Amino acid sequence: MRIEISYKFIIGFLIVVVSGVVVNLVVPHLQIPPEFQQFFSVTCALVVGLIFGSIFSRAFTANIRRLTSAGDQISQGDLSEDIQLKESRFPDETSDLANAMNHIQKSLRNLVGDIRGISFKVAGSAQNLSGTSQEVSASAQEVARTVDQISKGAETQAEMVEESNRLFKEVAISINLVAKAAKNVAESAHQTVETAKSGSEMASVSLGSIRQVLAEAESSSQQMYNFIGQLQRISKFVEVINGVAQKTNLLALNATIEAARAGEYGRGFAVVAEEIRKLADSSTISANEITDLVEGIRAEGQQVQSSMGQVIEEMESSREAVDRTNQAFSAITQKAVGTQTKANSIAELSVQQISSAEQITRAIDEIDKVVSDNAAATEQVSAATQEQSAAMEELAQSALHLSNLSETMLQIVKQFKLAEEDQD
Amino acid sequence: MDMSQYRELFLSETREHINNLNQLVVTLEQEPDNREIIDALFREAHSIKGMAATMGFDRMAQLSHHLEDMLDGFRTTGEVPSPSVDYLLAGIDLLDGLLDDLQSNQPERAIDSFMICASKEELTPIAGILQDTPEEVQTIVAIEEAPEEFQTTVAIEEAPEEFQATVAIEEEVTPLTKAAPESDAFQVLVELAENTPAAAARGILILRELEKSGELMSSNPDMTALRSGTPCHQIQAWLRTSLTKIHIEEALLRISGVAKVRFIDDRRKDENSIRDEGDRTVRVRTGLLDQFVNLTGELITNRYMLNTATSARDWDKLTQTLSQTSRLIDDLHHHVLQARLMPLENITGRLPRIIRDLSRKSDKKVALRLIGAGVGIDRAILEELTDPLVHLVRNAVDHGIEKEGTVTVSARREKDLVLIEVADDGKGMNPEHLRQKAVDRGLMTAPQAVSLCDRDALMLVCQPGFSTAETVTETSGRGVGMDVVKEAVSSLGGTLEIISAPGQGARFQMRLPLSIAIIKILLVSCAGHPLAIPITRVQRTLDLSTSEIHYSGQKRVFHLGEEVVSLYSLTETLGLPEVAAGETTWVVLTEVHGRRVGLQVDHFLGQREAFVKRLGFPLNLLPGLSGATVEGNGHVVFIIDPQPLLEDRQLFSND
Amino acid sequence: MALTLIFTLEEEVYGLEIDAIQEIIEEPALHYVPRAEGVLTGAINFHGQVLAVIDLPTLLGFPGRERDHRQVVLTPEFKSLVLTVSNIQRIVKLDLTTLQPPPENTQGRAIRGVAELDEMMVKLLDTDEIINQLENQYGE
Repeated sequence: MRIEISYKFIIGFLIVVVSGVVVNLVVPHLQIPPEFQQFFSVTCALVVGLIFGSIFSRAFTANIRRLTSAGDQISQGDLSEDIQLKESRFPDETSDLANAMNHIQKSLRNLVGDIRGISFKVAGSAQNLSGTSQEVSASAQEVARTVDQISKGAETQAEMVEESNRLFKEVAISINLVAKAAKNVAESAHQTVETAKSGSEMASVSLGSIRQVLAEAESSSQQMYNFIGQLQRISKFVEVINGVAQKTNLLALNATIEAARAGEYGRGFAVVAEEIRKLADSSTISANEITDLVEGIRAEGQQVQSSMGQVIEEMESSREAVDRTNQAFSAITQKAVGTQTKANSIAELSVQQISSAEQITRAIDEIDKVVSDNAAATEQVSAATQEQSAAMEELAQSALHLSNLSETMLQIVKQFKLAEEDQD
Repeated sequence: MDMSQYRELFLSETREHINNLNQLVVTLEQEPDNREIIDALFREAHSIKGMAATMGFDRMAQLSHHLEDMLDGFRTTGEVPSPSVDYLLAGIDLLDGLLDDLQSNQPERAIDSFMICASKEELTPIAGILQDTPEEVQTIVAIEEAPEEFQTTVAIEEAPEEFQATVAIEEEVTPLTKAAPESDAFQVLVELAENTPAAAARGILILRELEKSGELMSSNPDMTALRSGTPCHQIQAWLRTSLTKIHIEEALLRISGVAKVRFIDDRRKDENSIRDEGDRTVRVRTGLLDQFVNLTGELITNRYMLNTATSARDWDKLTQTLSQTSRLIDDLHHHVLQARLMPLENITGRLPRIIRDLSRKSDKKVALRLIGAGVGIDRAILEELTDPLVHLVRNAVDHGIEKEGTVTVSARREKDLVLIEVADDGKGMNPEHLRQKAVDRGLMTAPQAVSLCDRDALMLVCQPGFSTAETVTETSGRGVGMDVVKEAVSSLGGTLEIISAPGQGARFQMRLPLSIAIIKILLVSCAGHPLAIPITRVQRTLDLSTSEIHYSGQKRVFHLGEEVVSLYSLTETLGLPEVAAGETTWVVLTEVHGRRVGLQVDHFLGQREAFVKRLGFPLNLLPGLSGATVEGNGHVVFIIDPQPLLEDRQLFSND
Repeated sequence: MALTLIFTLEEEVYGLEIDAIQEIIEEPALHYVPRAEGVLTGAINFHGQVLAVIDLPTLLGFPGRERDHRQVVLTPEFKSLVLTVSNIQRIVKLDLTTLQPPPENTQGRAIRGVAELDEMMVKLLDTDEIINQLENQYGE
């Protein structure tokens, strides 16, 4: 509850009056002798007046003091702290004053803050500008240098292109030579193949005939073997015949015995038996002769067979030799054909190379022209770059100056103390 | 015609007929008015006469003719006076004597004295000349039918229908007895020309003509048929005549309408003898013969199948056919053995007569019971068995029966053996008595005798030189002792066993193989050679470990229960190289002279049936070889008899 | 004249009358005969008959010589003995009227006599004597 200072004085006064009245009323009720009653009432009234008087004055003075010190601070440029009065239940005009002062401070603070912010920004931009211009300047110089170099390189390039051109022409000539040589090689390889082929054919023919001879020799040998086998079978048969003859002999003997037992009737039979016995004997003799013959034939046959075996063996080895020759011919043919193919492909490639070399020479000539053009263009670029570089330098000077100015402004603004956080 | 080949046949058949005569006469004595027996006797005598005449043995023919006549006389009267029985028996004995003479190739003995008696007797048949024969001695002979199971055999063997047929024919033959002895019987076949009118009448004419020329025995059709007008174109007639055939032929051809006359020589007689041979001697049933023919046919077919299979090299077929062949051969073998079997009655036939004579001589009343006489036994065994059987019967009468009793001869099959038992219900045998006697005779020591069990003690009677008869009677003096009986039985591959106790009669049991040709053998080997020992000679086989064999001096012995048995090596006995003895000694336990002996062999190869081959000279002289058998692979394995083998080696001494 | 089978033994010629011969057979398998010794070398199976084989050379005093592969089977009259012989030659006709008594040195060797044949002296065997000898040897 706002109470103006003047009202506060009135109220205080009223309270002292009231308290004197009240005490006068109360004292009679106290067992205080009446002689003292007056006294007492006066004292009480005094005490109350004193208490109130001190409270009022103290509060008032304190507020004024605070306002004064706040004004000092503002003047010092310290805008950081708000003016804060002691809390009172009953504010008064001091509070209003404090509030107004706080408003001023606040406006100041905003103003200074804005100035400071802008100066900062200007300073930064100036500095940036200065840096950038310097950089641009440096770059420009660099470009100029490079362009210079390019200009020089273009000259070298042209020279080299010329050299290449010369060399390529030489290559084309040697390629031509190679192609010719390859053609020759292919031709001779072809001839080799032809020769080898006819050699191989001849070897095959001789191999065929050797084989035939060999087969014939072998079949003769087999026939001889079979022949000997047959002879052995004949021996077996002769054995059987011999056995039969022996058995017949035995039968004849027994027949004679039986015939004798039959007496007169057996007489004719005995004669037959005797004849049979003779037959058996001559069979035995013939069989033995056959055995001897067969043995002789078999021995000869075996000889023939063994010499035949030798022939076959020799045949076999010559067959193998021819076989090897044939194989060699085949290998030669194969390789010659390979050579021919390769030589042919070399010749073909050489022709291709020649045309390629010509194309290259043409391309190099083109390159030569381009390179010359490049050199001229580069020189122009170099001059422009130098001009650019000078302008850049001027720009850098202005930027530097601006930067200094903004720095100065910033120093000024810094004198204001705004908030705690802004100070550093 | 060469008669020599029929000689053997004649001898054996006649012997059979004589046996039958004896048997029949003894039976006749019991039933003097049995017509059937008289008929049978007549047939027997007639058969003997026919055969003897055919063979040209005149005296025998004469004598049998005489007996036949006499029997014919009895036939007409229908009874037999008892004195004639003895006379008949005497005649039969004489026939037997004649047969003995013929058998030993001696001239026939004289029969005149008997014949003279006969003629006298013929004049006074009822009075008789042998009236002094003690009538009170009666012999009871009862021939019992074989027990049930043998009846089939009997029936098969006897072929009753054929027998009856024979009888019928022979009765027709009767009239020929009146014909001259030199007369000849033959069959005449008279054929009439076709369309001959009054054929029957001509037939009668022909028969009359035949009757004139000799004895017309029978004809087909016969006179009665012809008289009744039966038409005929051919007459068959049996004629006995002394006229020549030409005469008869001429006579017949004189009758008009006769187209052809043919003579069939002696066919009747041949038929008879063939039938005799068939029925009596070989005793092959027609059915059996048919089976032979069938089997042979099948075998021939099989042979061709074998040939085909062999040439086609079809082994399956070959195997199949071979097994078929082996089955056929088994069948054939079985049937051949059947054919060889003869009923026991062939040798029991003479027993009634023997009993009759024995009981008369020893003045005992003895009855004979025959059981199972139809049981078939191999011919060879039967022949060898005659003497032992007779001896056993004599023994039974002599030593067994005291005053009155029965001798039972029975036969029955026991698996593949035949058991023939001669039993008496006499006083029996006392083993103690026999032991004592053996010691007395010095056959063994007293301790040896004591160690014998009763069964073995009874067998002592079979020891050579042992006779229990207190006095040598006429019958036991014939030289046939029990040792011979036992030997005979053993050599047939049989065994002899005696069962007896004092007061309980005695039974002598002979167990014989059905066939002598097939015996069971134990195959052993010695030094690699197979040898066969008849199972009947083997008591058992043993395998002894070395520790079981001990030495008693030089001899090796082992213990068999209480008994100490000597052990001999068969290998060593045969003189073969001894094979190193192994852990086990294989031993065949056999018996030598009633004592057990062990025979060591290298191996036992098994037991099998073997067909025994008789040994040729000089193999039959080697002691200890009783025969040989041929194995499936054709190898010859000899059958050894341990007893003579050990005897010969003098390894066995009677200590 | 008698048909005779001729065989040689060493230098000597022997004859065996074929009346005594049943058959000549070839190498039959010889089987062991227990306790056979001397000239009895074994037994053979001849058509189912078991026959004794007698070594004739040994009997004639020539033991351990070569033998013919054939053997002679005698007739049943001569016990069907099987004789091992040596070098069977053939069957000849021998004139028995020229038969001479055996020489002294062949006494007891079963020789019946000596006959002449083509200037050869043939010793005719005595088959009865062979059997006698065997009987004496084996019959005790």
